[in-house]
Amino acid sequence: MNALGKRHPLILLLFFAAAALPVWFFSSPVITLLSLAAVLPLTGREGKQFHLWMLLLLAAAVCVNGLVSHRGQTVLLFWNDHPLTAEALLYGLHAGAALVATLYWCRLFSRTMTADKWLYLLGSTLPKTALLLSGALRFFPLFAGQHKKIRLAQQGIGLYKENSLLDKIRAEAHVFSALITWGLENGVVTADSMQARGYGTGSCTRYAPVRFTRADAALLPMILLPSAAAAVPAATGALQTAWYPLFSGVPLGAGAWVAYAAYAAVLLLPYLLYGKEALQWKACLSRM
Amino acid sequence: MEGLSVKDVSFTYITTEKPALQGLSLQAAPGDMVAVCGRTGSGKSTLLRLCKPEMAPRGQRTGEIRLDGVSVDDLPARERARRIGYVAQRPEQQIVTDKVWHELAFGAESIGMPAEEIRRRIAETAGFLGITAWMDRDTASLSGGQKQLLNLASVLVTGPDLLLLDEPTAQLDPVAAADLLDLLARIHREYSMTILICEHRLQQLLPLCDRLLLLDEGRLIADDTPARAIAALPDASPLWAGMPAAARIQRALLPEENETALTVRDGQRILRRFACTQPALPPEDPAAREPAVEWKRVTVRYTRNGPPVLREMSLTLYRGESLCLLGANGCGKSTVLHTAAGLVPVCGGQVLLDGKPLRKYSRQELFSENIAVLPQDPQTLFLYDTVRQELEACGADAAALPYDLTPLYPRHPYDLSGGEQQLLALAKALAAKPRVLLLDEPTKGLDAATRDAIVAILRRLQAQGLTLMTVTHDPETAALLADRCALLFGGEVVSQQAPRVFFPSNRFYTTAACRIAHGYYQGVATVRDVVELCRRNGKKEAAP
Repeated sequence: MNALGKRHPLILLLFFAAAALPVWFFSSPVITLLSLAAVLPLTGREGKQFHLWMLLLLAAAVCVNGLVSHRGQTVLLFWNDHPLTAEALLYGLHAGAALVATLYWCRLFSRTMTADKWLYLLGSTLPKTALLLSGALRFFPLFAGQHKKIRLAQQGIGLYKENSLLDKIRAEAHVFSALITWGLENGVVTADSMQARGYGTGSCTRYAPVRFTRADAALLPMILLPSAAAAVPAATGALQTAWYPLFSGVPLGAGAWVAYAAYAAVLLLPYLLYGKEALQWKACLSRM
Repeated sequence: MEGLSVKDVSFTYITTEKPALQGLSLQAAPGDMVAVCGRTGSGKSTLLRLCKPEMAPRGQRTGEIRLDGVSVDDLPARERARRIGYVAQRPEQQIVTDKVWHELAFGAESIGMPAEEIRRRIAETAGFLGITAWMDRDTASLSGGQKQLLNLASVLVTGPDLLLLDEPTAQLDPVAAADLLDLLARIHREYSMTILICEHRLQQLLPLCDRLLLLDEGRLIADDTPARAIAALPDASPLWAGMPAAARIQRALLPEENETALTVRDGQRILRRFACTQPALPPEDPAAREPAVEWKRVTVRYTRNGPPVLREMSLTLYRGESLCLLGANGCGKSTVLHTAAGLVPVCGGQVLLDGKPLRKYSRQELFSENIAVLPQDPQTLFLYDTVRQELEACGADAAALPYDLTPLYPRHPYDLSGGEQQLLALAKALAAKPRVLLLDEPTKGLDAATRDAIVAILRRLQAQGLTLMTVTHDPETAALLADRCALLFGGEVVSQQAPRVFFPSNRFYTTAACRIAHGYYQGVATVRDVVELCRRNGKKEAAP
């Protein structure tokens, strides 16, 4: 994912939209499977725990849909006088997989599309809001850190020494009010610092450390064209899948194959970039 | 007229009757580095702020402040923002954005500089200051010294002609402070910027400055080269406390000399004129030794896999003594204090209070008449709107304090000066009548005279039976306050001795007085010790 993370934020945004949204819009088992297969190798940074939660979520989706939905013809067994159908289980599996795939994409997205990249995108249209957000982003860790400091300081002179709950709540309220005072006091100095550096003296320009390069521009059609190629057959119903009362099977018409191939092409992008980077590096090394 | 020219400026705050500045005039040419020195409340910050109208406090001003012949009030706002840079004391609060690159760009963006030019200027400023490696970091992840460097850098990006620095190193540890001052020296040497700087650390600053302004009660009492300004200082002036050690030694021993000594080398030259028949002061007798707090092979870690902060550290704090724990930034000094108050879980070993393991005390027991911690930032102790409420809420007995807080009663704790805040915090910490007081950097950010006053108060409390343990990175404070000094390094205590043994045996981490005495006298820690020893030895006979 690193290779993609180095690209322009706009490209990132587009890619993630093109990779994650079709899962919901097309609602086709092949698309969902492709998406899941593409995202899993990229999630190396997640801990075991995250994967375990995802697995649980998938299992829960299957169980809940199986128990709640009684549509479908293929009855497997009766449970509390209600039928448990193969179609309901299958649909649960698909919806669960789609959900899991989306969550993986979102997780990956939030790791790659860091706050400063969002701000950059926002900054071109709403510079003031972007600055406000940037300040806020800085303020939260500052606030949390100060809260910890105040708590520790108060403990150090014995503010939390009583064991009753009421005392604890009272102490916490005082700490909170002290935090607000500190925040206001702090804010005044920051505002001074902004003013001292010319903030509010007229329209401001915007500097961004990232630039939309030719390589970024080259990626645009590589995302947009296949996405369109997948969207057209999907919109004309080539991917239509019926789940109830009987599963219609995986759509395998010509249009469907075009959509699968096009979507797969989008998903390949981070791998291509990674491969290109690796090759370039190798070529570089051989020339050293 | 080139550079900064302040003509007959007086200023009265809107809230007070007494003028903060009275008829002040000064002239600073491009390339001048001028130190402004005075006690808290002498008007030095006011002077600096008036030079930057955006920062000017509310009140009545007369007289004129000009930059290159134009009144600073008449300069267009953008030009003013670009040409006058201002850096304040607390590094944290001046930072506006969350990323280093954005912080650097902020000023330039605000005054509408084209993006291409911002890019170039950031590149050259970051290169000059050696901070290119941090560009993508979160500002919150920087250390205090790095933050202050960033503040200076973001002001330099717009290329100011006048740089105003209000105690820029007060909140930094000695190493970071020295780095920042070195950098200023480089800017001063290589660029024609007018620099006006308020500082307490005159020891390092004065040799770099062209001029020294001394302010007292809003009046300019000296405006000359540092050497001549100090020479004109009356013996009784409270400003002496912060003057370079060499100058103080000279004034005490050779008051008739007119060439003022400023550097360690100057000081050594003075010492060589005294005999060396008795090379050391007699060591102080250690008092009776009954342990109050004992750390026995204490290990503390904050993360499971990271290196431990304290590594089987052993240390004893004896009853009635004053122990100073020294060490670099982030070496775990504060953690040692926190383990003694049970604020940090101990992973291995144990802490004993009066011979009983700390974990056998309830919180109630521990903080009533046993232990109190004075935190590094006194503001973290303040919960109410007035000093009176603060004291009443914790049941502090103001009458039992060795100082008087009553004049401050109606004021808001945040409006007090640094020294007053520290005294209020101390009163709160003493409210539960602790027998052991643990102090975290009690003299941080204070001017020398205030520092000496706080040290004197702590010494008086010690004489009343309080056991003190102070964590500090300032050798000067430790030399004055400690009966015993311990150095923490790599999570362990590497040496512990009385200051008169500890400091002379250190070559780098030591007081200015010791650096001056090095290689000549031993058994001294403070300027007073050196002066005392010189007097005992007497002047050398003039060479025949």
